[in-house]
Amino acid sequence: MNEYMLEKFGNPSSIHSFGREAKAALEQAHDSVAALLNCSPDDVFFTSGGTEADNLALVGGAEANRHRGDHVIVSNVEHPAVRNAADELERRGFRITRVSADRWGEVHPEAIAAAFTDHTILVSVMHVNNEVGTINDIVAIGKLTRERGVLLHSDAVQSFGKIPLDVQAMNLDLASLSGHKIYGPKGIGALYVRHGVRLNPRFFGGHQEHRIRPGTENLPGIVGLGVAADLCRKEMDAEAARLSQLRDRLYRHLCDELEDITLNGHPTKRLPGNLNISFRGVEGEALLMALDLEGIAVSTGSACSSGSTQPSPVLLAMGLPPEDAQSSIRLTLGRANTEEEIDRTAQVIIAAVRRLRAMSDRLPENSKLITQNS
Amino acid sequence: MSGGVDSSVAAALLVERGYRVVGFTLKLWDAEDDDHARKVCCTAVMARDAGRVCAILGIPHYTIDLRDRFRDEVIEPFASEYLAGHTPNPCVHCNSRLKWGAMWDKARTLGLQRIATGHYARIQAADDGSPRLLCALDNIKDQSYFLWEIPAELLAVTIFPLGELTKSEVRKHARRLGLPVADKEESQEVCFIPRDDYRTWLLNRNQALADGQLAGEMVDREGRVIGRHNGYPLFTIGQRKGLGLGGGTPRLFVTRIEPETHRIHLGEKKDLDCGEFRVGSINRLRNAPFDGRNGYTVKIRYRDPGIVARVTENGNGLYISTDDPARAVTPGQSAVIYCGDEVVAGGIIQ
Repeated sequence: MNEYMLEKFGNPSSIHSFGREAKAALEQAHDSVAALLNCSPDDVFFTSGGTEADNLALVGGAEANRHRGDHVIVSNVEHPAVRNAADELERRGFRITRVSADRWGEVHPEAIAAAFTDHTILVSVMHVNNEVGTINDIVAIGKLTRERGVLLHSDAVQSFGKIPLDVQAMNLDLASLSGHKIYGPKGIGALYVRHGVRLNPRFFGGHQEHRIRPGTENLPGIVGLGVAADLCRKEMDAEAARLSQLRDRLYRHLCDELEDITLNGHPTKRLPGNLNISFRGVEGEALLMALDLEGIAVSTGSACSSGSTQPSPVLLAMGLPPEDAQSSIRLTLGRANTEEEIDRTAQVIIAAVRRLRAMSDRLPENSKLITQNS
Repeated sequence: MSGGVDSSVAAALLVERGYRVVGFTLKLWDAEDDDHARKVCCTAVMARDAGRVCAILGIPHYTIDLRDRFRDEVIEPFASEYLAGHTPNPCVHCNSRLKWGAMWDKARTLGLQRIATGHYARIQAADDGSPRLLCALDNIKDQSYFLWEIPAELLAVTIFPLGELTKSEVRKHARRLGLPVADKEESQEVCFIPRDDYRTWLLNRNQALADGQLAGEMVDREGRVIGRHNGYPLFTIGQRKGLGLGGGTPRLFVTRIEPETHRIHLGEKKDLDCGEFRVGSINRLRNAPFDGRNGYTVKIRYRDPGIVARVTENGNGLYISTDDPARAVTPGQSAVIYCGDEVVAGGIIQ
């Protein structure tokens, strides 16, 4: 990335040699991302991140196909970018069906099928849920949408680079991905757009990215995303195995020592590095702060929704009682995590949960911070 | 940490003394309008400024949402007090129920062992080693008046780093430490009331008041009706403005508010003098009972210089009598009892 910030400073759109040099890097990055998706490099459009990609797909896709219908299907456990883009479509007069995920956060093909109408033009179902890690069967959903001639978009921000994502096998028309989820830079992402799919661009300008996403390219970010994609492709299988093992080790350790804990999301069809656990009687936010003070970073709900103490809408949509939603944390394991770190994390969590539970027992009822009526 | 210079310097001094410090910003209320939201102590501004200070000090910073608790334990009682014809003091309850209450509970669950604020007040050990709450050295900035409701058992874990400093010394520290809040304006008002206009706030909240259902008569000392008012909760003891009586008459003041009859009693300045009053909802910071001896000073409002008083036990409450009369003793306000510099007890004037 530094090379393209400090030395190779050309604009990929320029005709001169500096521009051509930059263009080569841009094309290399297109190739890298396309290789992980099993698509043509021409079908990859770089954006400012997953959120912009989701918006381009939902709003741009729906508006461009309005002549064919006005009904859009999304699931009720999508990331706020998809959720709010769908809300915006509704404000613009589209009809939205929000299909319910099951108690594990899985969106079933049958549920999508049941929601089809003659006016459906677009379906959006995430490949992997960002909060609980559940993996949806996009291949099965893609078969349905292809049969009906309906566009399929999947928010693949959590799956790209981590588990196989084959847009051909899945019959995907649109897929969003993001750089910082695969150890690339923040502020960069991409949208896969199947050749022939019509999309209204969100803004207007020059001819970059086939006018779908104009603007001088964020070349350092794009290069970073491309290299991250290459590394993921090389290491995906080994990493998935390693992370699954570490994750299972962590969860087992917690189960051995603590009672009244539940795993949220599907027990087996889940992202290798994801754990989302409810600890009964413990406020998730308090546990997060306790871990932070010990140098361990976890989250409650997606980063885009932090700042309030409302329980995660995704967990509630899955049918978790508010107290359990309020008492959950999400841990995502990654490349840099070692076995020692996992073991230490388990110990810190166990100690913190015990302490929080003990103090909660001693506190008078009216000073408990968990709101009962959410 | 409100992002203001006081709490920022308090945190910084503790870090310099070698404490392991964690900064908390409390989200207590939602802004009523954009103007209100831009006030110095709105949560987003507070959190941002406090966050910058914590980043400079290298300490963790968390914002905790206590809106529900604040609404139930500060805002609701505040409104109810006005409807009861009293003049409440919400900052007192915010301190005891939110800061030394909910926030302290949360801090304890994280294993933290002390609570500190930027209040101008002091904790000092008495001869027997027990902690005492004292007024600040800076008379003008002293905020001990608002701290009487702190549970006595929490004095031992409370630290007030600013108690021996003047405001200008605090600002000097802020500049020395490079804190960006050194010259920040202070907020003096009740934080959740836009522009400190509690009358408009009450009118917006209470339909009966807005509809004029709490209007009534204004009567003089002889009981003669001399005017009408538009709602008794909008008045306070000692008030002389806004009575709608025009000039020429001897200056009249509100001397009593009767919620049952909606009547507001008016009198002359001397009618505001009061030599004895009852205080309830007592909190004692020192365990000794009051035996009617002299030697105490009582403050009946913030910035009151204090008046010499005798204090006696009176059932669950206290009975206070003074030789020189106090002016405009107002039910709902706090009466804080000092022995020298020490806050011995406090309560609500009945």
